[in-house]
Amino acid sequence: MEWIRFFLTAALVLAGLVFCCISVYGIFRFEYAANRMHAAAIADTMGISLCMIGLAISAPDFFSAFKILLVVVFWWLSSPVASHMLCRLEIKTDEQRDEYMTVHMDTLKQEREAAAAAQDAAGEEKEGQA
Amino acid sequence: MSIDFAYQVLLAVTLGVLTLLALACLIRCILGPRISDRVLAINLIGTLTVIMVAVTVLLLGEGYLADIALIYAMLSFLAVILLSKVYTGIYEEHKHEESLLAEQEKKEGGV
Repeated sequence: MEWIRFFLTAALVLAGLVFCCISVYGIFRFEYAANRMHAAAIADTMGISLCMIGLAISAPDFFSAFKILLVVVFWWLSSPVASHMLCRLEIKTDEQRDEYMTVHMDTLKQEREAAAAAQDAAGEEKEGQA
Repeated sequence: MSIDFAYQVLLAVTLGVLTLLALACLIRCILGPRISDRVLAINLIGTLTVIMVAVTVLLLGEGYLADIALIYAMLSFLAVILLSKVYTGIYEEHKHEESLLAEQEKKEGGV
């Protein structure tokens, strides 16, 4: 029984570590802060939750397991807020943003017009049938 | 092999890997070209440190260390929020001063 507990803990904690490694690799691999935020969110969600659940399974008593899980809940609530603030900082202060964050308005417009035309054609056909 | 030894090996390896990851984040923090990269790296170091504190709960068998993990999570969250707010404010103040200066120069040039 003790060994089952140990192996469960080991599997979960090592899986969490793998997610943390992917996250840290990601913040070196990506080029812009907004992309890096995407990589950092892996450790904030999967990494911390897998590690903490694994540690809570073999915690010394009930209350420390409960507190460890409380940390995960708190982190899940606070991390999106922190990311939001960070993203706002990035968007407000980046003066070269338009050079790499582009929305192709022309393509978007063409696509929308094509979709609207297709819808109109379908509607007319229906009316014709009626 | 006793189970205590197995736990100690697992937790020590976990702590070692987490330390290396935190050091890598510190390097990113120093390299990071923009201020948001640095704050992001600090946020990630906070996450890794919370996991490390939770690992020490098992390693030392002390329940009260879980409280420290909770408090550290709160502090880390507060630090990120404050840093983002402060740097946004500094940037906007700087922008405002620049625009005021430009207006003044325009007026003087007109006279």
